[in-house]
Amino acid sequence: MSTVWSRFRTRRREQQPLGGASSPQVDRLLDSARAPATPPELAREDEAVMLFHRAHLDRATASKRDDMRATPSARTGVKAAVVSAGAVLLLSSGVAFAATGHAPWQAAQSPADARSTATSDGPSDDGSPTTGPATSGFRGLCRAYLSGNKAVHARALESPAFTALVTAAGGVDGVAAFCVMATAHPSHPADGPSSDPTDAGDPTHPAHPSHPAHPTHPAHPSHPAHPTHPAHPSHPAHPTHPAHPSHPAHPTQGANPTHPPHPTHPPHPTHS
Amino acid sequence: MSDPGSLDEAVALMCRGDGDAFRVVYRAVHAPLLRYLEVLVGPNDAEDVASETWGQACRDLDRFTGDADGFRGWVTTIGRHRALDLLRLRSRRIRAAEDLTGVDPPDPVDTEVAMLEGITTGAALAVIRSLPRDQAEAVMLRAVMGLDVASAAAILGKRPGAVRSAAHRGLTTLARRLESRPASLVEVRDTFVPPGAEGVR
Repeated sequence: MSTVWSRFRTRRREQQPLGGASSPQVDRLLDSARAPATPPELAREDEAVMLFHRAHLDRATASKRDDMRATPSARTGVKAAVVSAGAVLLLSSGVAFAATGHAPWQAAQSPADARSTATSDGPSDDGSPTTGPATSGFRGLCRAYLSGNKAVHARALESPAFTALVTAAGGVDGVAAFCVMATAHPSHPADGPSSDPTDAGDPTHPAHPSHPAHPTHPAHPSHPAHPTHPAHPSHPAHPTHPAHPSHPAHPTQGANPTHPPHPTHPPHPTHS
Repeated sequence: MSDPGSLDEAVALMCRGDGDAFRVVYRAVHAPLLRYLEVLVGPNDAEDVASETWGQACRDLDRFTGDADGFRGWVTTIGRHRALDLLRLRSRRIRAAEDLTGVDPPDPVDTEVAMLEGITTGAALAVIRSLPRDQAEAVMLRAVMGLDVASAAAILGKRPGAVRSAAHRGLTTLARRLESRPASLVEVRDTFVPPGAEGVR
């Protein structure tokens, strides 16, 4: 096909004579038919340009997909990742995680949890393998896992290097979803230590759909606690960072945190 | 490979996604394409068919390889297919409903009047459209759009000899029709019509 078009030539190049009778009237007619484009004729130019850009974008996307298709195993892996991500998003209410127990970092703080003190400041979470830091700590492994092709995944998960990951994810089947969550927000680490008092939230109360999984308002370091949940964490076992006296608890505010102004429940508060 | 600023270069840039280059190509290619489509489907539908044509061309642009002339031929071929689709659809509708509304057949009488009132582009296309379709297409591709015989033959799916012959017959027919009218009228119209005159009666 392409060779056909590259052979195309117009008469203006070849100057070959056009057969047929010639008369002044015919010449004038043809000149009229060849007249320069008029504004009405070009009225849809912008529309065409828009089509062009959209099509170019679509092609670019499609060609990336095609690249993926070149290695079927990678495609499968991507599919799995996408499906997992979709599942995670759909189920980010936490109900599913409550069932599987895979996503304790999702733990939302219920009024019952709201006994935590300011000790719930991020760094205190470091020791808890089932809370946010767990996922962030596995980000490197997850990247390795997700970037590998699917054929390797199964074997990879059997290797000692991934044992901890598998354990943290709650099993081989949970690794994909776990890793999607862990790697979904790589830009987050900076907020980690101070961002979220809910890191210490009780993973046994994870089902609070009213708590978005993605904090759109990461905490500011200067206000580390957002002490809307100032009560004692149900896992107060890691008080490596004592309470900040400057942010005393406000138990009265913490009593009804079902709609916190700042969703402070990142899927994976990080501690890089 | 292609001269800077040439349409060939614009086509090459367009194929790499350059929107400004696309504009340049569009401005050079669209009007002749639209007029060719107008000869095929009539003025009422030509715009829509042209839009469809550009849409498909944009979608399939990665399948195209060639220079400006190649692109002209390629996009014209797409346009022709879209136009023939519409013609088929129309003929089915006509057969089904015996309803001629919305159909836009050539009208030789109007053509004559248009010719007398001055040869606008639209009138010229209407005259060409009054030819049998194979002749009209050949005249458009060869004489108006300036494609060579091989390119026109590729677009029309015919042998070069058939295209050459159709163009020849078409031009001959046009000459006969135009000359069959008293030349003096045309000359009068062209030379002595005062500004604002409605036309020769």
